[in-house]
Amino acid sequence: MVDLIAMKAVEKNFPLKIGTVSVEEVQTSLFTVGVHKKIPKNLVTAMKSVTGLDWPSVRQIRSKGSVSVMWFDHTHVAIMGITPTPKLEEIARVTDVSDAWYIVDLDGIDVRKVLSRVTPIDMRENQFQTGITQRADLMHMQASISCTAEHSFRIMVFRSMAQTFVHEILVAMESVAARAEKV
Amino acid sequence: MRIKCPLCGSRDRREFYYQGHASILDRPDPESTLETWNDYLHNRENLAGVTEDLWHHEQGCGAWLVVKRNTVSHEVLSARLAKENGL
Repeated sequence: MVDLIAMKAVEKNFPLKIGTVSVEEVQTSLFTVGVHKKIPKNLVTAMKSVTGLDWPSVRQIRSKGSVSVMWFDHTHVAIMGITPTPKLEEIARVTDVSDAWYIVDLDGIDVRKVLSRVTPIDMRENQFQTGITQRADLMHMQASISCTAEHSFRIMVFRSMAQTFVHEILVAMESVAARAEKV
Repeated sequence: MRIKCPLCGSRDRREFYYQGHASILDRPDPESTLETWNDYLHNRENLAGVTEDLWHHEQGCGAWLVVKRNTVSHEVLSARLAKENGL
Protein backbone atom coordinates (compact mmCIF):
# COMPACT_ATOMS: atom_id res chain seq x y z
CA MET A 1 0.00 0.00 0.00
CA VAL A 2 1.20 3.47 -0.88
CA ASP A 3 2.15 5.57 2.11
CA LEU A 4 0.52 8.94 1.54
CA ILE A 5 2.13 12.00 3.07
CA ALA A 6 -0.16 14.68 4.40
CA MET A 7 0.66 17.95 2.64
CA LYS A 8 0.10 21.32 4.24
CA ALA A 9 -2.27 23.62 2.37
CA VAL A 10 0.05 26.59 2.96
CA GLU A 11 3.81 26.36 3.52
CA LYS A 12 4.13 28.98 6.22
CA ASN A 13 4.90 28.86 9.90
CA PHE A 14 1.78 29.85 11.76
CA PRO A 15 0.83 31.80 13.81
CA LEU A 16 1.84 34.88 11.83
CA LYS A 17 1.52 38.29 13.42
CA ILE A 18 1.64 41.65 11.66
CA GLY A 19 0.82 44.77 13.62
CA THR A 20 -1.88 43.93 16.13
CA VAL A 21 -3.43 41.08 14.17
CA SER A 22 -2.39 37.43 14.19
CA VAL A 23 -3.47 34.59 11.94
CA GLU A 24 -3.45 30.93 12.99
CA GLU A 25 -4.44 27.79 11.09
CA VAL A 26 -7.21 25.70 12.65
CA GLN A 27 -7.04 21.92 12.49
CA THR A 28 -10.53 20.63 13.11
CA SER A 29 -13.07 18.26 11.67
CA LEU A 30 -15.85 19.76 9.57
CA PHE A 31 -19.11 18.06 8.67
CA THR A 32 -22.08 19.51 6.83
CA VAL A 33 -25.68 18.53 7.52
CA GLY A 34 -27.94 19.05 4.50
CA VAL A 35 -31.52 20.25 4.89
CA HIS A 36 -33.50 21.09 1.80
CA LYS A 37 -36.96 21.92 3.00
CA LYS A 38 -38.27 22.21 6.56
CA ILE A 39 -35.95 21.17 9.39
CA PRO A 40 -37.39 17.95 10.92
CA LYS A 41 -37.96 18.07 14.69
CA ASN A 42 -36.08 14.83 15.28
CA LEU A 43 -33.04 16.33 13.53
CA VAL A 44 -32.99 19.22 16.00
CA THR A 45 -33.21 16.74 18.88
CA ALA A 46 -30.50 14.53 17.39
CA MET A 47 -28.22 17.53 16.86
CA LYS A 48 -28.62 18.44 20.51
CA SER A 49 -27.80 14.96 21.74
CA VAL A 50 -24.83 14.54 19.36
CA THR A 51 -23.20 17.96 19.82
CA GLY A 52 -24.77 19.26 23.03
CA LEU A 53 -25.78 22.37 21.11
CA ASP A 54 -29.09 23.72 19.83
CA TRP A 55 -29.83 23.97 16.12
CA PRO A 56 -28.42 27.30 14.87
CA SER A 57 -30.74 29.86 13.36
CA VAL A 58 -29.85 31.70 10.14
CA ARG A 59 -26.39 33.35 10.39
CA GLN A 60 -25.79 31.97 13.87
CA ILE A 61 -22.81 30.10 15.29
CA ARG A 62 -23.09 28.22 18.60
CA SER A 63 -20.05 26.94 20.46
CA LYS A 64 -19.24 24.95 23.58
CA GLY A 65 -15.57 24.21 24.19
CA SER A 66 -14.02 23.04 20.94
CA VAL A 67 -17.37 22.01 19.42
CA SER A 68 -19.35 24.39 17.21
CA VAL A 69 -22.48 24.21 15.10
CA MET A 70 -23.07 26.94 12.57
CA TRP A 71 -25.45 28.01 9.82
CA PHE A 72 -23.44 27.36 6.66
CA ASP A 73 -25.64 28.28 3.69
CA HIS A 74 -29.28 28.11 2.61
CA THR A 75 -29.33 24.31 2.78
CA HIS A 76 -26.54 23.42 5.21
CA VAL A 77 -25.55 23.55 8.85
CA ALA A 78 -21.93 22.75 9.72
CA ILE A 79 -20.54 20.83 12.71
CA MET A 80 -16.97 21.55 13.80
CA GLY A 81 -14.77 19.83 16.36
CA ILE A 82 -16.43 16.40 16.62
CA THR A 83 -17.29 13.47 14.38
CA PRO A 84 -21.07 13.09 14.43
CA THR A 85 -22.39 9.68 15.43
CA PRO A 86 -24.36 7.57 12.90
CA LYS A 87 -27.49 8.70 14.76
CA LEU A 88 -27.44 11.95 12.79
CA GLU A 89 -26.76 10.21 9.46
CA GLU A 90 -29.95 8.20 9.86
CA ILE A 91 -32.03 11.38 9.65
CA ALA A 92 -29.95 13.80 7.57
CA ARG A 93 -27.40 13.97 4.80
CA VAL A 94 -24.10 14.25 6.71
CA THR A 95 -20.90 14.84 4.71
CA ASP A 96 -17.31 14.94 5.93
CA VAL A 97 -15.82 18.04 4.28
CA SER A 98 -12.81 18.41 6.61
CA ASP A 99 -10.39 18.13 3.67
CA ALA A 100 -12.33 20.56 1.50
CA TRP A 101 -12.06 23.69 3.61
CA TYR A 102 -9.14 25.73 4.90
CA ILE A 103 -9.82 27.33 8.26
CA VAL A 104 -8.00 30.14 10.07
CA ASP A 105 -8.59 32.23 13.16
CA LEU A 106 -7.81 35.94 13.01
CA ASP A 107 -7.34 37.84 16.27
CA GLY A 108 -6.38 41.35 17.21
CA ILE A 109 -7.61 44.89 17.83
CA ASP A 110 -7.45 45.83 14.13
CA VAL A 111 -9.02 42.60 12.83
CA ARG A 112 -12.14 44.39 11.54
CA LYS A 113 -9.99 46.90 9.64
CA VAL A 114 -8.10 44.03 8.02
CA LEU A 115 -11.26 42.19 6.98
CA SER A 116 -12.83 45.41 5.67
CA ARG A 117 -10.08 45.45 3.05
CA VAL A 118 -10.96 42.04 1.65
CA THR A 119 -14.74 41.68 1.95
CA PRO A 120 -17.63 44.02 1.02
CA ILE A 121 -19.74 43.11 4.07
CA ASP A 122 -20.21 45.52 6.96
CA MET A 123 -17.54 44.74 9.55
CA ARG A 124 -18.59 47.32 12.14
CA GLU A 125 -19.07 45.94 15.66
CA ASN A 126 -22.74 46.90 15.85
CA GLN A 127 -23.39 45.17 12.50
CA PHE A 128 -21.30 42.01 12.88
CA GLN A 129 -21.47 40.83 16.47
CA THR A 130 -20.11 37.82 18.33
CA GLY A 131 -22.07 34.68 17.49
CA ILE A 132 -22.89 35.77 13.94
CA THR A 133 -21.64 33.89 10.88
CA GLN A 134 -21.94 35.12 7.31
CA ARG A 135 -21.26 33.74 3.87
CA ALA A 136 -19.65 36.44 1.80
CA ASP A 137 -17.28 37.38 -0.97
CA LEU A 138 -13.64 37.56 0.20
CA MET A 139 -11.41 38.76 -2.65
CA HIS A 140 -13.62 36.75 -5.07
CA MET A 141 -13.54 33.65 -2.85
CA GLN A 142 -16.75 32.17 -1.45
CA ALA A 143 -15.86 32.51 2.21
CA SER A 144 -17.53 31.79 5.52
CA ILE A 145 -16.77 34.51 8.09
CA SER A 146 -17.74 34.06 11.75
CA CYS A 147 -17.32 36.47 14.64
CA THR A 148 -16.19 34.39 17.62
CA ALA A 149 -15.33 37.32 19.93
CA GLU A 150 -15.18 41.11 19.69
CA HIS A 151 -11.76 41.04 18.02
CA SER A 152 -11.71 37.44 16.77
CA PHE A 153 -12.95 35.94 13.54
CA ARG A 154 -12.92 32.45 12.05
CA ILE A 155 -12.56 32.44 8.25
CA MET A 156 -13.15 29.43 6.03
CA VAL A 157 -12.35 29.19 2.31
CA PHE A 158 -12.07 26.28 -0.13
CA ARG A 159 -8.79 24.48 0.52
CA SER A 160 -7.88 24.89 -3.16
CA MET A 161 -7.74 28.64 -2.53
CA ALA A 162 -5.78 28.53 0.73
CA GLN A 163 -2.58 30.08 -0.64
CA THR A 164 -4.44 32.90 -2.38
CA PHE A 165 -6.40 33.54 0.79
CA VAL A 166 -3.30 33.69 3.02
CA HIS A 167 -1.57 35.98 0.51
CA GLU A 168 -4.54 38.37 0.41
CA ILE A 169 -5.00 38.44 4.17
CA LEU A 170 -1.27 39.07 4.79
CA VAL A 171 -1.30 41.98 2.32
CA ALA A 172 -4.32 43.44 4.14
CA MET A 173 -2.62 42.94 7.52
CA GLU A 174 0.56 44.67 6.28
CA SER A 175 -1.46 47.60 4.89
CA VAL A 176 -3.35 48.14 8.14
CA ALA A 177 -0.15 47.83 10.21
CA ALA A 178 1.77 50.23 7.94
CA ARG A 179 -0.88 52.92 8.27
CA ALA A 180 -1.13 52.45 12.04
CA GLU A 181 2.60 53.31 12.35
CA LYS A 182 2.11 56.67 10.63
CA VAL A 183 -0.53 57.90 13.09
CA MET B 1 -26.79 48.57 -6.39
CA ARG B 2 -27.64 46.45 -3.37
CA ILE B 3 -30.00 43.50 -2.96
CA LYS B 4 -31.54 42.59 0.38
CA CYS B 5 -31.13 38.82 0.60
CA PRO B 6 -33.76 37.37 2.99
CA LEU B 7 -31.03 35.24 4.61
CA CYS B 8 -27.90 37.41 4.46
CA GLY B 9 -29.25 40.95 4.61
CA SER B 10 -28.27 43.86 2.38
CA ARG B 11 -25.46 42.80 0.05
CA ASP B 12 -23.48 44.24 -2.81
CA ARG B 13 -24.56 43.42 -6.38
CA ARG B 14 -21.14 41.77 -6.96
CA GLU B 15 -22.21 38.80 -4.80
CA PHE B 16 -25.09 37.88 -7.12
CA TYR B 17 -25.43 36.20 -10.51
CA TYR B 18 -28.30 37.25 -12.79
CA GLN B 19 -30.36 34.50 -14.40
CA GLY B 20 -33.36 36.03 -16.16
CA HIS B 21 -37.05 36.67 -15.76
CA ALA B 22 -38.78 34.90 -12.86
CA SER B 23 -41.41 33.48 -15.25
CA ILE B 24 -39.07 30.48 -15.58
CA LEU B 25 -40.46 29.35 -12.19
CA ASP B 26 -43.92 28.80 -13.71
CA ARG B 27 -43.12 25.63 -15.60
CA PRO B 28 -45.95 24.54 -17.92
CA ASP B 29 -47.59 21.14 -17.73
CA PRO B 30 -45.42 18.55 -19.56
CA GLU B 31 -48.37 17.81 -21.85
CA SER B 32 -48.75 21.45 -22.88
CA THR B 33 -48.65 22.48 -26.53
CA LEU B 34 -45.41 23.33 -28.31
CA GLU B 35 -46.54 26.96 -28.47
CA THR B 36 -46.81 27.10 -24.66
CA TRP B 37 -43.36 25.55 -24.24
CA ASN B 38 -41.92 27.84 -26.90
CA ASP B 39 -43.35 30.81 -25.04
CA TYR B 40 -42.03 29.56 -21.70
CA LEU B 41 -38.52 28.97 -23.00
CA HIS B 42 -37.93 31.84 -25.40
CA ASN B 43 -40.40 34.71 -25.25
CA ARG B 44 -39.92 37.48 -22.70
CA GLU B 45 -41.56 40.82 -22.04
CA ASN B 46 -39.11 43.70 -22.40
CA LEU B 47 -40.66 45.88 -19.73
CA ALA B 48 -39.94 49.49 -18.92
CA GLY B 49 -40.98 49.39 -15.27
CA VAL B 50 -41.33 46.87 -12.48
CA THR B 51 -40.09 43.37 -13.27
CA GLU B 52 -39.21 40.20 -11.36
CA ASP B 53 -35.93 38.41 -12.03
CA LEU B 54 -34.10 35.40 -10.67
CA TRP B 55 -30.77 36.15 -9.01
CA HIS B 56 -28.41 33.60 -7.49
CA HIS B 57 -26.59 34.60 -4.31
CA GLU B 58 -23.48 32.68 -5.38
CA GLN B 59 -20.95 34.56 -3.22
CA GLY B 60 -23.27 34.29 -0.22
CA CYS B 61 -25.81 31.77 1.03
CA GLY B 62 -26.26 30.11 -2.38
CA ALA B 63 -30.02 30.66 -2.51
CA TRP B 64 -32.00 31.65 -5.60
CA LEU B 65 -33.92 34.88 -5.12
CA VAL B 66 -36.86 36.46 -6.88
CA VAL B 67 -35.90 40.13 -7.04
CA LYS B 68 -38.47 42.77 -7.87
CA ARG B 69 -36.88 45.83 -9.45
CA ASN B 70 -37.67 48.79 -11.64
CA THR B 71 -35.86 48.76 -14.98
CA VAL B 72 -36.39 52.51 -15.41
CA SER B 73 -35.20 53.82 -12.05
CA HIS B 74 -32.97 50.79 -11.23
CA GLU B 75 -34.59 50.71 -7.81
CA VAL B 76 -34.58 47.30 -6.10
CA LEU B 77 -38.01 46.92 -4.51
CA SER B 78 -37.90 43.53 -2.79
CA ALA B 79 -36.32 40.09 -2.72
CA ARG B 80 -37.70 36.75 -1.60
CA LEU B 81 -36.48 33.15 -1.72
CA ALA B 82 -37.35 31.35 -4.96
CA LYS B 83 -37.70 28.25 -2.78
CA GLU B 84 -41.06 29.66 -1.67
CA ASN B 85 -42.19 29.06 -5.26
CA GLY B 86 -41.09 25.44 -4.99
CA LEU B 87 -37.70 25.82 -6.70
